[in-house]
Amino acid sequence: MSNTAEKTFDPTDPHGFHAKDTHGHVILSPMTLIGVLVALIIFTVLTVFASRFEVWLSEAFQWEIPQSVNVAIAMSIAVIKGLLVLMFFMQLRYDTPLNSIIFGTCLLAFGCFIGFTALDLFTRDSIDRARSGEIKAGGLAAAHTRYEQVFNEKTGQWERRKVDISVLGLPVAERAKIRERGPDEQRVSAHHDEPAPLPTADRTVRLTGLHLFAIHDEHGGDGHAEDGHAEVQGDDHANENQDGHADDLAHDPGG
Amino acid sequence: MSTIDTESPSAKQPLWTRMTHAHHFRSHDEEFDACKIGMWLFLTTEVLLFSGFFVAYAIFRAMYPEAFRGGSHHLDWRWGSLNTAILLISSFTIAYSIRCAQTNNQFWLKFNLLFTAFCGLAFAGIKFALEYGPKWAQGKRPGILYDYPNPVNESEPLWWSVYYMATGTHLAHVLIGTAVIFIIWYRATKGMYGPKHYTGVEITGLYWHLVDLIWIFLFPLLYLIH
Repeated sequence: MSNTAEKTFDPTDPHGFHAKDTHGHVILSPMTLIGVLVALIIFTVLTVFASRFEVWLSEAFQWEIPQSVNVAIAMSIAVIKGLLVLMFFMQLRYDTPLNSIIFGTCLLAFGCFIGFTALDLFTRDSIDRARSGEIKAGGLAAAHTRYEQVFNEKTGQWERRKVDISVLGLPVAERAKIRERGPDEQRVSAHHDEPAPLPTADRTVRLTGLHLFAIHDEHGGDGHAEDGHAEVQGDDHANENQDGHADDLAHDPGG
Repeated sequence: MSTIDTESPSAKQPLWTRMTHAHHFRSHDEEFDACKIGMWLFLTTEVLLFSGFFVAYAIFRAMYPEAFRGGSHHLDWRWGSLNTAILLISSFTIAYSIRCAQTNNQFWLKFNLLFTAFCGLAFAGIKFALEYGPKWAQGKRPGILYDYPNPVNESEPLWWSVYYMATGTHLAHVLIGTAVIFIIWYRATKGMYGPKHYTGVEITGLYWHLVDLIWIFLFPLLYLIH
């Protein structure tokens, strides 16, 4: 966009003779653009092929390639494709370094985000063995909907019937009952075919539902987590948890 | 940002020759660079928005590998690949439209912009009609809405939550980008973009490339890793 006709000396311009005129305006050649597109398509075909090849191997020969290899291949190809888009389509290669620095800093922040989260979640057991149970595969997030086999007397056949175990799906009376019994009871009912889970070393107070403010306990009962007496009950909970924690270790030292 | 110069003797010239920079900038270039840095700063916030989904994906995948393996088997890699190709080609056409604006190739500038916008619509159509629609009907829904009778793992609703949130947010970006590209195309039909003035095409292109960039990572993570 450098218009030579307009190039006059401007004493108020710190850049002098429009020194900044030329950068930031690179016209990419059609061959560059087409080349990048072709490379992107080829890498896409490659990553899809690698994924299908792995599935085919496992189905035809029962050769299970470790997931880490699969992830490594897919992610390296994605990074190459991403760099191609960033460097050529987004023109970072030709642009002022400032834009690259801005984007690089953002990626660094992303790295910190995922790095420190993983560092916390996946190394808890190496610091405190009792905490290893907190993060366990298949443990904490369960389906809200389950099915059970029910014999239908009208049709004389067994049918699948939906069992809604979520608190939100329960009638108001049931919900009140659960609130009375406390969240731990509710967890037991969610896993009704399993023994009651032992208390964990988790000292946090579990709440069910949305509570912007502490709810006044109408029954004056022994105050479960969701009433306003969480602080008062804090010591009791801590003792319970410590006992349970000892049990937990005794039963299952592996965590 | 830019204002239209109506007083110069060249008022009969194409609109882009009459676009002048805003008064608080020293030159057109300075305005262009400022707009571009502003766009890059905005793109970093977009990346950080999506980084939440990527972290959720990584952590939950490590915690519930069976649920994620079971969930990803429900996705059809062919639709994912088709959508990837559509986005890559649209990224190319919008990059080419910037070149067309720089070289004052008005017809292909408008054609490429329109083509890119229709690619965005095609992506959204495939996503809604062939992926979200059937899956939602089968009960493969996020979180508490989950109603699929044969889950491999009890934590599969978590997979669908991550899937719908990540692809849904991405789809919202595709639709917003498509709308913006239609606006840019309309402006291009008025002759607003040319070698001297193409800031709008350039920063819209940056946004569209970011949408593409995020899909480049979402696609293998969701569809290809088993």
